[in-house]
Amino acid sequence: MRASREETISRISGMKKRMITERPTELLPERALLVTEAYKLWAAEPPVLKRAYTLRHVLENMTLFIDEQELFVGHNSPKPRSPIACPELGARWILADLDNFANRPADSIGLTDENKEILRKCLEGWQDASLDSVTNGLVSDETKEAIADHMITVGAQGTAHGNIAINNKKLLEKGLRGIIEEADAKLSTFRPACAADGAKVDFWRAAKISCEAVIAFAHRYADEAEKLAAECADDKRRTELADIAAMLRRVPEHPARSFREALQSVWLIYVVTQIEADPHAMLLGRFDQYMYPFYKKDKEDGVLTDEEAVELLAHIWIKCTAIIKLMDSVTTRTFAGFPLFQNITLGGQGPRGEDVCNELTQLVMEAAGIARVPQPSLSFRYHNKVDQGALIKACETIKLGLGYPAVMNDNCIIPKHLIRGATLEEARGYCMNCVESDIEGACDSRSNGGYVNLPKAFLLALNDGADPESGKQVGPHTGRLEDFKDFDGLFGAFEKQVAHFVELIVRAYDLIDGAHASHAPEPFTSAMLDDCIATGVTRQAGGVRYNFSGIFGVGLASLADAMAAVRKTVFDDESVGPKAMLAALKNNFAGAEAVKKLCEAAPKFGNDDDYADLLARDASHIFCREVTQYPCMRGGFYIPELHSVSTHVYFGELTGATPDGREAAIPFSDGASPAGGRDTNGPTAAVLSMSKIDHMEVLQGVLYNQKFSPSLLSAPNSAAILADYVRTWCDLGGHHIQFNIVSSEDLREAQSRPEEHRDLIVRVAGYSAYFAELNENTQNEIISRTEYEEMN
Amino acid sequence: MAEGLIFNIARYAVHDGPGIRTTVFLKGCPMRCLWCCSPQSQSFEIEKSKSGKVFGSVVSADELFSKVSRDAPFWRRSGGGITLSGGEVFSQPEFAAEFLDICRAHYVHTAIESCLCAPLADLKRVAQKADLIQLDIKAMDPSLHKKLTGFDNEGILSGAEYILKSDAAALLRFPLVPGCNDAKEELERLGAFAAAARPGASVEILRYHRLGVGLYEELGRNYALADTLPPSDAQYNDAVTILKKYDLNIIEQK
Repeated sequence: MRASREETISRISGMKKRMITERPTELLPERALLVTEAYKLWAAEPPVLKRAYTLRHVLENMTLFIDEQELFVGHNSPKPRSPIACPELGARWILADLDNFANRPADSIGLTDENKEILRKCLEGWQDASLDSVTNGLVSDETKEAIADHMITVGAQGTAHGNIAINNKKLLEKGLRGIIEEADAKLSTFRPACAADGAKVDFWRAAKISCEAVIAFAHRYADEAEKLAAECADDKRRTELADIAAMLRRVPEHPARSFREALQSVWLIYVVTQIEADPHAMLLGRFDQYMYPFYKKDKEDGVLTDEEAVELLAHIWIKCTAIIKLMDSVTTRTFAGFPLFQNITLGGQGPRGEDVCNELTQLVMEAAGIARVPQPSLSFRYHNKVDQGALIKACETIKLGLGYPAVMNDNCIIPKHLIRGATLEEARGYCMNCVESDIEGACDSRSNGGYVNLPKAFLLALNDGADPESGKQVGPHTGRLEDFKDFDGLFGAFEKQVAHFVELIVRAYDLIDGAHASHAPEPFTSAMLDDCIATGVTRQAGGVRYNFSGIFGVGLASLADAMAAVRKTVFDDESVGPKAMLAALKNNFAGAEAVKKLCEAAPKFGNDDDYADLLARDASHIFCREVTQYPCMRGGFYIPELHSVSTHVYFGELTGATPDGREAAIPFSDGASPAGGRDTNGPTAAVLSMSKIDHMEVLQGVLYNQKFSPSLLSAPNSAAILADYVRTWCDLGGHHIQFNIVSSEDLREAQSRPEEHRDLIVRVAGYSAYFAELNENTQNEIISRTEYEEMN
Repeated sequence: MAEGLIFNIARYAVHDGPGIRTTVFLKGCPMRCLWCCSPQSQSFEIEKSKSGKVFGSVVSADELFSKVSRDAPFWRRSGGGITLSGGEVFSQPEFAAEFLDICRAHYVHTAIESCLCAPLADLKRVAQKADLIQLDIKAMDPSLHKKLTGFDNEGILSGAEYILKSDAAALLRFPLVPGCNDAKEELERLGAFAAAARPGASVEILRYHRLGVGLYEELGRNYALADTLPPSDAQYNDAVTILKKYDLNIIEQK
């Protein structure tokens, strides 16, 4: 069997049609019903064991999906693009949203009337027992009020945490049997000496139960493949199915022996982590590293060609995009476009700082270019010794316009892990999330703490803590604009507002974090992480080596532009009086066109103008300082991030006019990028502005989106030039950069005729999504991002 | 300290020489090419468009360098630099010379884009200060040239000959404008001229485009080639075929 490129494309495009583009979304009740049964059957067990038995019950009974052409198998639900519902985590919000799923403007999920009623009945029984009912009782009224005022969001109240990469290298070497043996070794020698020790025994037992359940699940899949093989009339497909069955008798129980077995093993375990608790951002880690030994051996043995490898790799994209997560209606606005934040990291440094790009690095990018679907995202690690061929391949892949790979800068990120406490070798081994970095098996830096509406914090600073639009007291009393003698006084008020809202998130999230440990431990995923078995502590209780919780600052550039406008008009030029400014904001600039003009004319972030850029830098520093001071529940501490997913659209929609001249309800700037249309001096000026922010202190990550017109990348040597551009960005200390290569004109066309452009993929934030599946405001925000084209 | 009049600075310019470049557009040009895509570049005075946009600002060579040299990290990485374009660079010889001297003192690669309509003495003096000359020839026939640009080409051709016969790095560029300068014999004369002046010379054939039409309206002027369309691929390829018969390195525009 020797695949050709035509066969690869035919197989992959067939899978893509059946599993994604022609497959409507559909919410099915199967998992919710199985979980409900299991929680009754094992009601007397402590949570960690109850959840292990529940996982087993689901894996023993769920409907299996095998596509008619796929070469390795595993899916989280009975059908592609069919999210699972987790009543034990989110019964309240799922119930509240039940009538919205099918009709909401973005990320709608099909749901038949019959299934809706089945789910309703099931969920009603969970209302006082789910995680979200527990967290609802823990979050203070003051925090709930701040959430209702759109100052902050607080994460993970009724859904699991992802943002973690399991140690696939170890799993491929030891198999699940090896993990079971580790747990057995603990159980046979350990003598509990206190109550907490009892919980360790429970966890080790739960780890064993769940690993055995996954092995049995693989065998169920093998049975299913054999059954299909027996019914199959096509010789070629019958052989493929028999091969699949044979693999699943072997892995993930035992060490993988080939590239195909390794892929099957990694994928099945990946799917189970999705089934266990439906998290987002389960990462595939340094895929080109842990898969390379298998690739190399198979190539040497002559049992794998590069084309076959590409065909198998392209499966990953189809199969990842076929998984979607059920999200509540607010989250579909803050996380628009079904992002699951699956991510593959490519390249980077080895333990001694050497470049580790290999043949697989480029083949993975090749496969992504064939699959052309949004997930998983690719992150290419740049460093000073990077292989130029791999970097150029990354730039050529960027030119395809899929929004990935994003480029991550080792020169910035490795030191961050050292600051966060990792060893040099661990730090060099980092892998990517969205724009956050982790360490396979050893780091839980979940980006779930919450989001802070930074421009609105500045509005409160202008107005003694009250929202200028509504007059409602939202934050602490910190003085009015006319009280401040100079801009520094106003900046001080902003600091106090930010400090207040960060603290509200921390207080709420610590409690939520604790509720996950007590009510929603994940024995299987925990067993897949390095230190949990060794310590006997689940991931949720802090069993992972390095623990952090992320808090996001939203709208940094909009904030800096607003600050620059106030500084310029009210303090430096005295062209607008403080009362006139507040009145203009209250009235959304109605009748204050002159004020609006002056605001718009003030310096803007993204033009290499220190006047605005240094305000972004200083505001970023304040935010980082406030976040980093707090320890988090699992050990470790809170870490800051300048990244908004699509929360900048959500917060923007709900915030009044701001002094940068932005009218009410317009989206804020995305990530840490300049506000759309405000950076008018070309891409190099924007990059220079971005580099004035101290990326190093933003420990969780900084997101920078640039939109290039395809014409800017039309020259024959444009990939090489883009590579030099990326190198320069990294020289300047940037954390991350990603590109949307699509013209505004094309986007507008796609907006008006979505049915003809269902395959248009755009970069939203640290992830890509189908443009047609985004809501109108998010689409508009992407269109409005400054597009760099040639100027003459 | 010489002062110059400029009307734009383009950053991340990737078609004006090697690497990532910062292109400075000098304002003012003695020629009036019918197809000119930047009418705001022609006058030596500061102008205002109908919508109030101002074209033109006066800068000293020092000021200009401190402004554009913020892009230096990009030049260093990509082997790029600064390109002086126009307008006509050689119409502001003192300013251009002083600016290019500053660039050279800072080891910055420079390129000039010019149509060479300047006294030969100015051209010789300034051109040697740049690392690359990108020279335009619009037409070979003297009366056709006059008709299309309002300017004689005698001096231009001797300037071009001077550059091509020197050892300066040079790229000859020819804008292919259908119905204006795309006749077979024009192209043959161009090929023969360039190959004689510098065997193996690099010649880039540029495609006429209409991206500047809106600006004419903005400035209250008429665009002379109202009905001319960009060359079709067939027209473009015909021109390439003709020029490829000569001892030249023909660079095609995709």
